[in-house]
Amino acid sequence: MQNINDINEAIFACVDGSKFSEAVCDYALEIAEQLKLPLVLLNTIEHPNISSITNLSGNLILGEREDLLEDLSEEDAVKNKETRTKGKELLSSLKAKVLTKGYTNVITLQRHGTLYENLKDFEDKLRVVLFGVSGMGSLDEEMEIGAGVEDIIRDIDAPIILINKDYTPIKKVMIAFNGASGSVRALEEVSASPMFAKEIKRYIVTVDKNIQKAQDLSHQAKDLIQDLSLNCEYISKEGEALESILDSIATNDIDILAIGSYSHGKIKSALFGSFTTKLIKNVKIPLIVLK
Amino acid sequence: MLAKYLKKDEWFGNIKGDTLSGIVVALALIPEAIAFSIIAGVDPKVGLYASFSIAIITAFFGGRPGMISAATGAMALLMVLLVKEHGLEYLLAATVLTGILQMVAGYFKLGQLMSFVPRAVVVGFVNALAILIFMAQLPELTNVTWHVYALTAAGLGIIYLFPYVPKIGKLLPSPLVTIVVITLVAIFMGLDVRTVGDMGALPDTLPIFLIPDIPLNFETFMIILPYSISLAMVGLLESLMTATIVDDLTDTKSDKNRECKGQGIANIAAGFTGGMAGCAMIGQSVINIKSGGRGRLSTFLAGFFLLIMVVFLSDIISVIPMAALVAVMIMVSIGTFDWGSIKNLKTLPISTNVVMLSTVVVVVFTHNLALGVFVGVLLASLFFANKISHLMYNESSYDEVNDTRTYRVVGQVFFNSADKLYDSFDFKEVVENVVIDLSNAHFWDISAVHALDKVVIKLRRNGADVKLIGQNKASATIIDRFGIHDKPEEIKKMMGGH
Repeated sequence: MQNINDINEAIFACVDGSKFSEAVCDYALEIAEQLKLPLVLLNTIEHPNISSITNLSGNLILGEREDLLEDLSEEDAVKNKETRTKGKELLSSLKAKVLTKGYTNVITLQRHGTLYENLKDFEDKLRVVLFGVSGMGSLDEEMEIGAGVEDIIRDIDAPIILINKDYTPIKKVMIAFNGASGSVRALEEVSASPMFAKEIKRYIVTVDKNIQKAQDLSHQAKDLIQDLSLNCEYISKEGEALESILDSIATNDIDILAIGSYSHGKIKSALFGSFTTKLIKNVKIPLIVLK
Repeated sequence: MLAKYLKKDEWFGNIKGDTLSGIVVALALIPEAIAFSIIAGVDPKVGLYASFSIAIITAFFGGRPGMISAATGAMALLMVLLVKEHGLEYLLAATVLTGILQMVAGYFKLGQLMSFVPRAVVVGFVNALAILIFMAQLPELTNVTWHVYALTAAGLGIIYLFPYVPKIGKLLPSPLVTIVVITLVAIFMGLDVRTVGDMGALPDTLPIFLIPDIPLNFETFMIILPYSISLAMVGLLESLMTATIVDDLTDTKSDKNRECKGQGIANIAAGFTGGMAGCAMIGQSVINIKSGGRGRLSTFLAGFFLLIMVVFLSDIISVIPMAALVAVMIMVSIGTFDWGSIKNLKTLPISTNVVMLSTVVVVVFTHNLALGVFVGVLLASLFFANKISHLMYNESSYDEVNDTRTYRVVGQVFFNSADKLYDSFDFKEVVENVVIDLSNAHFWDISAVHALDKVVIKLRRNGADVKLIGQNKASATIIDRFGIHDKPEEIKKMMGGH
C-alpha cells in the first residue's frame, strides 16, 4: 500500500460519513481516472469541544485539575475510538467500492483534527479537493455553509469541488466567467487541464447588467480557450448574476458548475454576504470553486 | 462537521454549556473580586469593575476561548505598596501602563519566552499562589470571635459536602449555597461579624470611562513603571500558564500572542473604568471548564452576569459576612494548589524539587511572583548547565614511537565544563608532542575557548609541541547564530561526531 508521503499530487475525497460521502467518492473517482492521479480517501476525526460532563457544583477540591483532566480525557477517548472505528469502516467500504470499479491507485487516510487543518497540512499535495457541503448533523434540506467551507475555499490553493447531490456522470459543464482571476483559472481548469474528458460539452456563461459587457466577457473567454477546439457554447445574459446562472443551469441541464471564488475581503463579504456563498447555497449541482 | 471551524463557533458553539457555566463563574467571581480588592487595599468596587471589564474584553480579544480573566490575587499582591504609598489613582494609571506593556509584549511575540520557564517553576508559581491566597485570608481569621471560625468552618463544610446532595448537589454551585446560608444564619442569629459592606464601597452604577487623576509627568511615570513591569510580567505568566491548562483540559489550541494582546487591551480598559489590573485565573478557568464552559460566550456572560448582579444586588452583597468569603477563598486556594506536585515530590529528581520549592519560598517571603519565577528560572538554568557539563570527557592515548600524547575531547565545552576540561590534561607528563583532537567537541562560548588557550600555553611552557586538530568543527557552535544550522540533518551531523 502506498504511503501519503510518497505521493506528490492526488485527488482528495474528504468523507465524513454524511449523506454525500458516497457521492464525493464517486465524483472523485471520475476525476482521478481522468487526471490519472492517486485517489486519497480522507477521513478526519474532529474532536468535539463540548463535553457532556457538566458539573455545576462550582467548587474546587484538592487535585481538581488532575481529576478533571482525567475525566475529560476518558470521555474523549471513548468518543474518538467510536468515531475512529466508524471512519475506518467508511473508508474501507469506499475503498472496496473504488477497487471493484477497477481503480487501484487509491489510498485511505485517517487524521485527527479539522478538515481545514488537515488540508492545510497536505496543501502541496492537493490537486483537487472534494467534500460534501451538508454536515452530518443537518438532516434538513437547507444546506449548511459554515465559515469552515469559506475558510477552505479562501485559503486552499487548489480546485475545490463541493458535492451537494448524489452522483450522476458528468456530461455537461458550465463555467461562470466574469473575467476575474479566479474565473480565468476555473475556465482553464475545466478546459485546458483534462479534469473532464475532451468530448463533454462546455457552456461558458457571462452575465452583466449591460448585455454589451456580458458579450465582451464572452469574447474574452473565447480568446482564452479557442485553441483547444472544444465543444463549447457561449451564453451571454443581461441581468442578475445569481438568477441568470441558475436559469442557465436549469435550461441546459448542466451537471457541474465552475466559478472563481471570493474576490473581496473577509469583512466585506461578512457584511454584504458573498456571491460565492449565495451561489453555494442556491445551486443544486456540484460546484467547482477556484481561487 | 464543517460548522466546527466556524469562528462563530468559538462564540455560539456551546450556548447551553456556556450560559450555565457563565452564571456559575459569575457567582464565584464576586467573592474573589471582593477578596482580591481587600488584598490590594482598595474598595471592593475596584476589583468588581476590573473583573467585569477584563472578563468582557478578554472574551472578545483573548486568544483562549473559555478562559476566565478578572481581578486576581497574583496581581493584587503586587500593588499593595503602590496603593498604600500613592493611592488608588496611581494604581489605575499603573493598570493602564500594564496593559500597554502587555500589548507591546504581544506584538513582539514575547509569549514565546514562556518556553524558558520550566515546568517546575510553573508548578512552584501555582503552589505559591495558592499559599498566598490562603495567607491573605488570615487577617480575617485573627483577633475575631469564635463565631467567625464557626461560620468559616460551616461554609467550608457546605462547599465540599453540598455537591453530594442527590440531584440538586450538582446543579447549584456550592459556593453560592454557602454564601446564602452563611449570610442568612448571620442575619437571623444577629451575629456581630464583619461583612463585605464594612470593607469599602460597592459598585452603585455601571462602570464609566474616567481618566486616572494623576499628574502626567515623568516622576509619576517612574513611580508606576516598576509596578507596571511586575504586573505585566506576572499577568502574562499566569495568563499563559492558565491558557496551557485550559488547552490541556479541552484538548484544543490557543493563540498565545493574541492572549498577550487581549490581556493588554483588557487592562487598559480596566484602568480607564476604575478597575485594578488583572489576568487569567486558574481556579475560575477550571471551574468554567468543569461547569461545561468552552466558548467565548462563557467568559462574556461571566462578566456580564457579574455586573448585573453586583450593580443591582449591591445591598444584598454588602451584608455577606466576610467569613463566607473566607471559606470560598480557602476553597480557591485548595483548588489552585498543584496536588500532584506534592504527591510526586519523592519520585522527582532533587534538582526539580529544589527549583519548585525555591520558587514557592521566594514568593511566599517577598509576595512577588515575578521574583519567584526569576529565581526559579535561574536555578533551573544552572542545574541544567550542570547536567550538560557532564556530557564531556577527554580520552588520551600515547604513541611511544613518536613520543606523542593524543587527547581526544568529546562533548560539550562551555563555562561550566571549561575547568573540567583544563583539569583533564596531565601537565606533569613529559612528552615531546601533544595532539589535541577537537573534532568531536563543541565549544559553546568564550570560556571554553579560553580554557583551551590556557591548556595550550601550559603544554608549550612544558616544552611540548602542541597540535590542534578539528577545531573548525568544534568552534562552529560558538557562533551565536546556531539557529541557521537548525535542521535535523545538521543537528544529526553535529551530535553524531560530524
